[in-house]
Amino acid sequence: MRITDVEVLHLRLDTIRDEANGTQDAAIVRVHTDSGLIGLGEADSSPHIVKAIVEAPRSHSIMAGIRELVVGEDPLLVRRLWHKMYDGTLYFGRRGVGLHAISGVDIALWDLAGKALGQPVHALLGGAVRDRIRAYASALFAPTPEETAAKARRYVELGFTAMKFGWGNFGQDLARDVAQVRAIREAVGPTIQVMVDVGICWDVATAVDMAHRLAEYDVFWLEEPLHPDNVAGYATLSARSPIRIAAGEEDASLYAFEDLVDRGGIAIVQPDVSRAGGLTESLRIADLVHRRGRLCVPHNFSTGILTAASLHLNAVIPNALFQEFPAPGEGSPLNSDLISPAFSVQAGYLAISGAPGLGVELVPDVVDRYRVE
Amino acid sequence: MRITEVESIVLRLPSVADVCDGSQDAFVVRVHTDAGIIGLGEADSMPSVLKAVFEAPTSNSIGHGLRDVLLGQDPLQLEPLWQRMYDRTLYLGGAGVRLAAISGAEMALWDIAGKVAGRPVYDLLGGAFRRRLRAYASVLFPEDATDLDSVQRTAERLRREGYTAMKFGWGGFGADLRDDIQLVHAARQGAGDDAELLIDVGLCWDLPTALERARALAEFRLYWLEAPMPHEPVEAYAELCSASPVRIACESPGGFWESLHFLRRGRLHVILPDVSNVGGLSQWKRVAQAARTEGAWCVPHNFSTGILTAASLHLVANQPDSDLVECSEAGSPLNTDLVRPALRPRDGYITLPDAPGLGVELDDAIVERYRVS
Repeated sequence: MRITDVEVLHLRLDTIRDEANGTQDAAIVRVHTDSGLIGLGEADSSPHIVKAIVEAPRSHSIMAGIRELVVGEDPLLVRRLWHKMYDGTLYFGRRGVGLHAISGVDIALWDLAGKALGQPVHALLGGAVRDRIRAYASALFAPTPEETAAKARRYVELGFTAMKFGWGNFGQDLARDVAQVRAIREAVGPTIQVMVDVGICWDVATAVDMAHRLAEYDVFWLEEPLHPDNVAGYATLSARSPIRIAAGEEDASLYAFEDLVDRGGIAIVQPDVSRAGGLTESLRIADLVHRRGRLCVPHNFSTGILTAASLHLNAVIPNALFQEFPAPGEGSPLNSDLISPAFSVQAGYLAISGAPGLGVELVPDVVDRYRVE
Repeated sequence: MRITEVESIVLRLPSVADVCDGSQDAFVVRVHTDAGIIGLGEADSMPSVLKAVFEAPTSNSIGHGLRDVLLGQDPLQLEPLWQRMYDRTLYLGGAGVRLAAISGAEMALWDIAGKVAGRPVYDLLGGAFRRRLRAYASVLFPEDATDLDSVQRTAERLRREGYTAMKFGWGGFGADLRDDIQLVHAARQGAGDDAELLIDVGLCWDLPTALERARALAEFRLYWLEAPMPHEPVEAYAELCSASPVRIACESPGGFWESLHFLRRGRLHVILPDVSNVGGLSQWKRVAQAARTEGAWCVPHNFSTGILTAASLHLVANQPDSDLVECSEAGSPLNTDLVRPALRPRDGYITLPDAPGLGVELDDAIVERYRVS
């Protein structure tokens, strides 16, 4: 079997709002083969740029486009291809969007391998250690504590036993921030796990202070309070915070995560499978994190392809805890309608599929509706 | 004064070889203003992807195309604009091609600032310590590691042209100890005893090999040994740098933060940030200051067009303790002919351009000839 083409589909809502909602567009990757099998992946990054990275002509020996690097290769040699892509994009990749594009192709290669061998991806990754995982509802803060509390109550009614709120206007007014979190805790009662995603807007001192103030409301983790460049700040914060510190969605590559864990000292590590380097690299990251005695909770806020890929990772890693799941009504149709079968949370859990590959396929009508290039 | 257009120009030789010559294509950015002044910049990364980074439509609040980020802004607000570009592209991840694109735009803003002030960029940076800078010739080793004759002849030619320092790298170097010794011997023969000889390895050795080669090649009195290993793991650099009898140099692994980490953890002797991908002139200067603090040298990586050379010259002239500038001898017309005046060395030294801004302008005929998009 040989790879014949790599295709990037740029999907996009008609109107894009300047807000922290990563489901307004999507970069879908399809790896075609001479066997007729097609692998499906995605990169949670700028679709226009991911497409350019896949299609770029060669510049020199360590700067080539991804399509040129993998066409003609055997798609089952996933690890070989990962390194070929990494080395061939070294001069513009290694981190950031270069690695995001590699992630999309890597996920598609695993999907392809699963389809070719008639096995779910988690079996190829070494075998599932669980058949379901607890989902947490992931949502943006509403403008007021009352509206945020209403969202929280709804997620409890839908069966969620854990939820996270983030971004929106959070971080701009400390008193309102505390009121927001108090309203959530009062709405959901003492047994639901509540997490807070700060949105990269505090300095270390504010984060330490707020961690102490929010600890009263039993916040399970405090996510991304600091800028991702500020690894030294994460070390100070992690040492002083009474709440677990979580981060990782901005980072890519094993080395970046090693730094974040070893120097930054964070407790909850959140690689995004479609950004950090695909399933190949995320598995290495999860292993590293496991060796450091920490939990790996993959970031997942894009389409159902990423949800599927994250579930396969979560199925096999010993240090899993949650599957992030965009709360109903929070994502766009690209999040909820793009793939079939759609995911549904039952009594707070997501089942891990045994279907070949990732176990999901694109819904052609939805692709046609939103495809722009 | 407002930015009215941000123009991406991709240049490419008709035939691009799979060798590590980074001047086979180029990306130039022109920032237009309502005052009629046009700023010129370049980014040394994958040209078609850079174009996509500029032209990408909005994905979300931290995912914007750079063109949209810049349009309508006051080009003289250099620091706020740099931060705006950085914050509004965070979705694309840390360094890599996104930071290269920011570098190109920032360079063009300096050019505009200089033209508005009627002063060369080095004056805006705080002044020049010197007007003549020592050029080191930068060439590739032949792909055939046994072609010693051509190495010696090239070194002799560069010496005749007046160079007092020269660098050979990549090509067939690195694969075999005996070949490597012969290649460096030939270069030393051609360069003569008193020229400085620099060797660029091409990121290909592991730690024991790098140590073995550094010891074996020390007798040829190398000025530095560059990029002997991949950037990661950075701890390997710390071991090599503490034991090597030859100075160890390496390109910046990303922007300021990654460079700082590399200097501190890797204990590097010479860091080689490239103005056109480290984040621009402001970030290059930060890296240079960090290098001084950490007891290391900072020398610009410069292997693309004359726009990058101009920016590098302004920065080196502005440093108290350095006068070395890389000068490509790979022979690409994009390197030698794209701008006027051509910044080529005479008797081994390059004179700082003193026209307002970067002090160079595009040669329209060359742009027309090599422009592909």
